[in-house]
Amino acid sequence: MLNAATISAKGPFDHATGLRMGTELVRKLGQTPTALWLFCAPLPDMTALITGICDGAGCDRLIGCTTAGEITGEGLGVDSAVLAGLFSDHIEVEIISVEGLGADSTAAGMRLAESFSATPKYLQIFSDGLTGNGSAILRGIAAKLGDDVPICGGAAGDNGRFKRTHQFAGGKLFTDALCGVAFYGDVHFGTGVRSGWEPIGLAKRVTRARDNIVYELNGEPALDVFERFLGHHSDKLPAIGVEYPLGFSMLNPCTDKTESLILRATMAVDRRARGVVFAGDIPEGAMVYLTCGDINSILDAAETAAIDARRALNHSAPQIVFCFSCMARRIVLGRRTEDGIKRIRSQFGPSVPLIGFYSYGEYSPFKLGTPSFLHNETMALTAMGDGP
Amino acid sequence: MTQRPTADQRIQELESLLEQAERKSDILTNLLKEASAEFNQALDDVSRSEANFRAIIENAPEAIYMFDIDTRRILDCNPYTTQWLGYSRNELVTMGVEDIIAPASQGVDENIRKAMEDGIVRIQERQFRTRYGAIVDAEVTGTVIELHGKTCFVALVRDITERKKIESLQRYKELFKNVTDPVFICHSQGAFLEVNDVACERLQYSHAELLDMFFKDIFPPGAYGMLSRVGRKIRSGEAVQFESEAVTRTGERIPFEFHSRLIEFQRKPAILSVARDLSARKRMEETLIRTERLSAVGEMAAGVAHNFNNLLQMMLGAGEAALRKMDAGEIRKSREALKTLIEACQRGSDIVRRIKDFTLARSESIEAGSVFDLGELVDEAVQLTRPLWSNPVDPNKYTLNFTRPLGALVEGNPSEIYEVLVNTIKNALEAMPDGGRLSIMPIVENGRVSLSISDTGVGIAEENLQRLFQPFFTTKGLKSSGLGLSSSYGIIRKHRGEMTVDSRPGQGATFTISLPRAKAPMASDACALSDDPQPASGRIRFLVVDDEKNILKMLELYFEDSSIDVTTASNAQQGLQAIQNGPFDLVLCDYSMDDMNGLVFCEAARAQARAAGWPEMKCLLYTGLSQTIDPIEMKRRGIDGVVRKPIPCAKLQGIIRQAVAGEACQVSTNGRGGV
Repeated sequence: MLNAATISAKGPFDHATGLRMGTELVRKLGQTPTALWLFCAPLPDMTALITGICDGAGCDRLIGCTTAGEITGEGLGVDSAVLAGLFSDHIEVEIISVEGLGADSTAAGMRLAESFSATPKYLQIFSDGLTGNGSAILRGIAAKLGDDVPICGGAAGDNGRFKRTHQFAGGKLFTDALCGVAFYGDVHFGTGVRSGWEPIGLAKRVTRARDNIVYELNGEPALDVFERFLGHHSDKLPAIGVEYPLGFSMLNPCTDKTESLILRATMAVDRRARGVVFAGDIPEGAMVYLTCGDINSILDAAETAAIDARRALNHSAPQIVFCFSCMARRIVLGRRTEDGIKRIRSQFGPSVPLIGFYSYGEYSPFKLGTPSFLHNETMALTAMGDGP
Repeated sequence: MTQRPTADQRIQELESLLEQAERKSDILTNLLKEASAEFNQALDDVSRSEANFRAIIENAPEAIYMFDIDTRRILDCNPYTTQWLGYSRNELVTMGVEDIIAPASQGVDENIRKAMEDGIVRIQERQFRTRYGAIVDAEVTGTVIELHGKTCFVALVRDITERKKIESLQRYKELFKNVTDPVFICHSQGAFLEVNDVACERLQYSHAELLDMFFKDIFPPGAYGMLSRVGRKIRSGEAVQFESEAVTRTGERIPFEFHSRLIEFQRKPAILSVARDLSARKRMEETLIRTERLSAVGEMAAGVAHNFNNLLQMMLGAGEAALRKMDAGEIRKSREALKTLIEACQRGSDIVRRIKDFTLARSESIEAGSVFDLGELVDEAVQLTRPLWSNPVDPNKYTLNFTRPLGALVEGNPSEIYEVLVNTIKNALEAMPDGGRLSIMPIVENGRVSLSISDTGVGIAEENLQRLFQPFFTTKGLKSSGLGLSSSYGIIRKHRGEMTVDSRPGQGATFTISLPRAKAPMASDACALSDDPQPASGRIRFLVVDDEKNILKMLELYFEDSSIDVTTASNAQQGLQAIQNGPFDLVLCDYSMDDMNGLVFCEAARAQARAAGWPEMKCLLYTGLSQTIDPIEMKRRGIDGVVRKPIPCAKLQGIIRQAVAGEACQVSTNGRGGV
C-alpha cells in the first residue's frame, strides 16, 4: 500500500508553523509517514520550520530544498512551504546528503552514490542550483550506480535572486550540498519530461566550450552570436536567456541514438572572454540551436509530460506526483503558470496529491531505461503509484 | 491560492505578453537575417562547390558521361569524352550508350543490373568505338544516381591504350627475351638499339658490343646495296623479308632469313628484325638439290657414256694414228694426230668438270665468277641432256630446235648457269611425256643475252604460275623436291638476271632466261698461261710424289728438256727420302696415296726439310677427286694450293713457276677450286 498527502503554508517560517504542518500531514495521511518532502521559499528560520515539521510528523526522514516557487495541487505558491508525506509498507527509502558540491560536483555525485546501502530502484536528488554542476553530479552518480538507475529531482532555487540556495536532508539544512533519497522495494513509478521549446534558426557548432561555458559558436565568440540573435534585447542577458535557451541533442551511449533536445538556459555572460555561462554542460562539438517557446506550447508540454509519466506508470494507480519545473517556465507563463499545473492535474485527477517546485535545473531520463540528464526549461514529472 | 486577476493585473499581463511577442518578433527577425545570411553564404559555398565540381569534371583527364538507364540515351558528358570519342557534346546527347561501346562488347545489361543492385560497378575493361571507327581500350567504373526523377548511370572511363601498349611491350619484352631467333631493334639509321641474347650468342658478340655497332656491320660488304634497298622499303612502312648471310665475330657466315618492319621503340620509330637461321634449311636444300642433280646425272649417264665413248674413240684413233705416222717418219702428221688426242682429252676433262660442278654446291656470290660464252654452255647442256631427248628406240619422239647464240658473253659462275640450263631443258622434256618440240632460241640485244627454252607440252595451270618459283612447290609429286626451279630462279637473280615463264595449259611453256651481257675480258684480266714453255729464269727443283707411275713417267718426259729439274717418287716413303737427299723448291704430292695422304705427307716433308736444314719449299696437292679439302687443315699442314687433275703439262709448268715465285694465280688456296 502506498499513501501520500501534501500540505502547504505561507511564510514567515517558524517552529510552530512546521509543527502545525507536520501534525496536519499525519492527520491527512492517517499514519506516520515513511518519508517527508519539503520545498519552500528561501525565507528566514527554515531550520525551525524543518524541526517543527519533523516534530509534528514524528519523522525526520525529510528531504527537500529551497525553490523559485512552490507547486502543489492548488497551484503556484509564493513565499510558501509545501510538504508531502508518503507512507508505504513495501517501499523503503534512504536519505543521504553530501556537502562541498561546488568544489567537485562529480565527486559529490560519486560520494552520494557510494553512501547508499544498495542500488536504488529510483533516486531523487536535490542539489545546490548555484554552486553545483548538475551534469557532473549525474556523471558521478552514474559512475558508481550505472546509467540504469532513473534519477529525478531538481536544482534548488532562491526565488530568482541567484544568491544562495539550501538543501534539506534528515531534518538538517545544508547549502552547497547534494541530497538524495533512494527508493527500494516494490516501487512503481513513471516519469515524463517535456519543455515546449522548439529550435529556431540554423544550427551552429560549439567550437570551443568548457563544462557549462560556451566560448565559440562556428568559430565566432558565443556572446557575439547571442548579441546578434537578440539584437537590442541582448542588454537583458542573461535573464532573457531563459526565454531563448540553447538546445542540443545528446547521443545515448547505450543506444547510439540521438536523444531528444536538451535545453540550456543562460545563467551569466563573461564579457571579457565573450563567453556565455549556461545552467548545465554543453559539450564541445555539439550542434546547438536557439530555441523559443510560447505559452501554448509550454502548457501543452506540461500536459504531455503528465501523459508520458502516467503511461510509464503502466497500470499502477498514481498516489503522488512530483513536479520539478524550470523557473523559466514560470517567467514565460506569467499568470498562466497555474494553467500548467492544472493541465497536469487533469491527467492524474484532482485527488492525487501533487508537490514540486520551480527549479534551477531538472533531473530526469527522457524515458525509463535510458540515462538521466540535467534539463532546463522542462517540466519533469515522476508519478508514484501503488502496485497493480 | 489562485485569485482572479484584477484589471490592472490583466493589463500588466497583456503588456507583458506584448513585450514578449515583440521580443520574439525581433529575435525571429534577427534569426531570419542570420539564416538568410547563412543561406546566402551557403549558396555561395554551393556555387563555389558547384564551380569546383564543374572544374573537376571539365578538366578531368578521364571520360565522364551520364546516361538514362531506361532509355540508354546519353544525357551529359565532360569535354574529355568529346575529345576522346571525337563527337561533339551535342552529338553525344542524341546518341545511345551502345553507339559508343564497341560492337563486340558483352555484359552491358548485366553491369547495369548489378549497378542498380549494388549502386556501383567494379572497375572492368571495355572497348569503346570512336567517331572514326577506332576501337580503344578503356577501364570503366560508375555508379547509379537519381537525377530529375530519372535513374541514371554515371560512367567514369579511363583510356588504357597507353597502359595496354606498355603491357604489350612487356609481353613483347618477354617474347624478345625468350624467342629462339635472333631479334634486332635498330634505329632507322641502322644503329642497334636492342638485341636479344640469341642474337649475341649466334653472332658471338657481347650485348654491349652489338649496341655499339650498326646493322650493316653484321653483313658481308657485298650486301650493303641490298641493305640500302631493304632499308628504304622498311622506312616507307613496308614489312620486308629478305635472305642474307650474316658474319659472326670470327668471320663465319650464317645464312639468315630476315623479317623486318617498322615499329615504335621508346617512342621513336625503329626497325624490328627477326632473323631465322637458314643453315639447316640450306643444308637440307643443298642435299635435296644435290640428290636431284645426281639423279639427273644418272638419268643422263647414257649421254655421258656416249660422249666419253666418242672421245675415247677419238683418243684411241688419234693415238694409233700418231704411232703409225711416227713409225712412218711422218712427224708433222704424227704431231697433228697427237694434237687431236690432246684436244679430245681436254674435252673429256671439260665434261668431267661440268658433271662434277653440276653436283657441287654453289657459291653465294658471282664476284669471283668469270666471263664465259653462254652459247658454249648451252651447247654442252644440249649434249649432256642428249639421252633425254634423243632416244634411239624412238628417234622421232622429240624434235630439237636449237640455235646457238653468238657473242653471248655473260659474267658469273658457268657451272651454276649450266645447272639452270640442264634443269630447264630437263623440265621441258618432262612436260612432253608423249613427245614434242624443244626449242632453244637466243636473243642478244640491248646489252642483254636472253635465252628462251620452249616446249609443246602440257603447259602450266594459271594458278600454279605464281607459285612456280617458290621453294618446294612441285606438280610432280614425290618425284621432285620442288627446289629445281626455285634454285634456278635464285641463280639467275644472283647473276642480276631475270627468269620468267609464259604458259597456257595444253599449249606448252616458255621459260626465258635473261642475263646482262658481259664484255670480253681484257687480256691482262686473265691469268695468261702460255702453253709454250717460257725460258727459265732459273732452274727449279721439283719433286712429284704420286702412286700412278704413268703420271710420273709422263711428267719426267715432259719436263726433261725444261728448266724444271723433276724428281719423282711413287710413294710417300720415297718422297721423304728424296727430300732428305736434297732440297726442293716445290713439292707436288698426290692427295690420295696408299701409304700416306697428301696432307700428311706435305706436313712430314716440311718437317723433314727443316730438319735437314733445307730452305722453305712450296707444297701443292695434286688430286683428281672433286671433294673439298678443309682450308684450315690445309693451312695447318702447310699446303700452298691444290692442282686439279687433269691439267695440261704446259699449265702445270706455269703453276710451278708462279708458285715458286710466290704468286697465287690459278692455284686454289681454299681447297675448293683449283686448276
